[in-house]
Amino acid sequence: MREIAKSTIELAANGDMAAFEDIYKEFSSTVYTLAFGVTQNQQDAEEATQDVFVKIFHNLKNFRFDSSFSTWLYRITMNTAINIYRKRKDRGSAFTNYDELNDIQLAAPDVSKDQRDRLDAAARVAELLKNINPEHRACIVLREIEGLDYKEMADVLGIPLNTVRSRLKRAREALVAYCRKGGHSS
Amino acid sequence: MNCKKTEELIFTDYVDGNLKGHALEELKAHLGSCPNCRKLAEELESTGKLFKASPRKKAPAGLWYKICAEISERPVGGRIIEGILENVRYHLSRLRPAVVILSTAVIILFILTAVMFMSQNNYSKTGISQDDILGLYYMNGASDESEYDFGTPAERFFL
Repeated sequence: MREIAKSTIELAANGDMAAFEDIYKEFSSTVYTLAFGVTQNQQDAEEATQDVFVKIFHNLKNFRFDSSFSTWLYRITMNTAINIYRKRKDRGSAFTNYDELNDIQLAAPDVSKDQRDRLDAAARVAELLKNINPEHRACIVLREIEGLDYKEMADVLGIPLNTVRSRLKRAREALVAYCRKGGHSS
Repeated sequence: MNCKKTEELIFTDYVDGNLKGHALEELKAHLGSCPNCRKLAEELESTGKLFKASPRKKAPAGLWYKICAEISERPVGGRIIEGILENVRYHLSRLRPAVVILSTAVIILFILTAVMFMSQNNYSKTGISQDDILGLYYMNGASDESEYDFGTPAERFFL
């Protein structure tokens, strides 16, 4: 996990917006990627990212450095994204239509072969993630996209190591079952 | 190593690179001889590659300004309450087992205190002390060994 200088956090905690912008620049992509991984919806991911940074700004004063800043940030991100996903789901809203989104991006004249492959991978990942529940999705994105180890995942999600292991196993079982039923992975 | 144990490891420690030394060699030997487990390992490795190939996303342009606007607009009271709730949530989830034990102990203590208080209250409502009631019992010829009832809820339950 990436870290940021303690002095930057302390400045931001005292209301220094330039320091807070440094934190935003360092982590906004991570927060948005994780939130999108969980919600699978652009609007929700944007709302979650906004919520996360507002919460962080107002709570930096209370951050005691007894866990790493990244762990704290990832944790707020995951909780916020899962809550937003649940609210959205209760209201019956759908995921982002990735095929439509991809068609628009792929139609751009300057899309290279590499970009095309990456967009294709993103669409496949989105399709896989839609087939597992948000808790399992959280585990998968932390492991596969952020590359966190089991201990870091346990700290972020606030669950025991064995629960991390069993959630990862169940998530991957579901992904493999989906691929075998006809969904694609490769 | 049997298939069940191998599958368990493939789904977690093997694909995540946590297996080392003898355990890894043993699992690889099993994969060499078991096409089903080999297929599972290949499927998971392929899925893992897909995630790695997927591009990281950038936060939408203009989001920073929305955040700044929300920070300056939100009322102070709301910030404080939200901050407290966020911290409580964070610390509760970090200390989950300890909190559960502590809360259970507090609840049990509360129930015991409530029962004792109710039972004492019953005596005070009648205006007759416990000694008075005992005296009445003895005056009516009850012996030390005989059971007597003060009519409290706890006694009605146990006697």
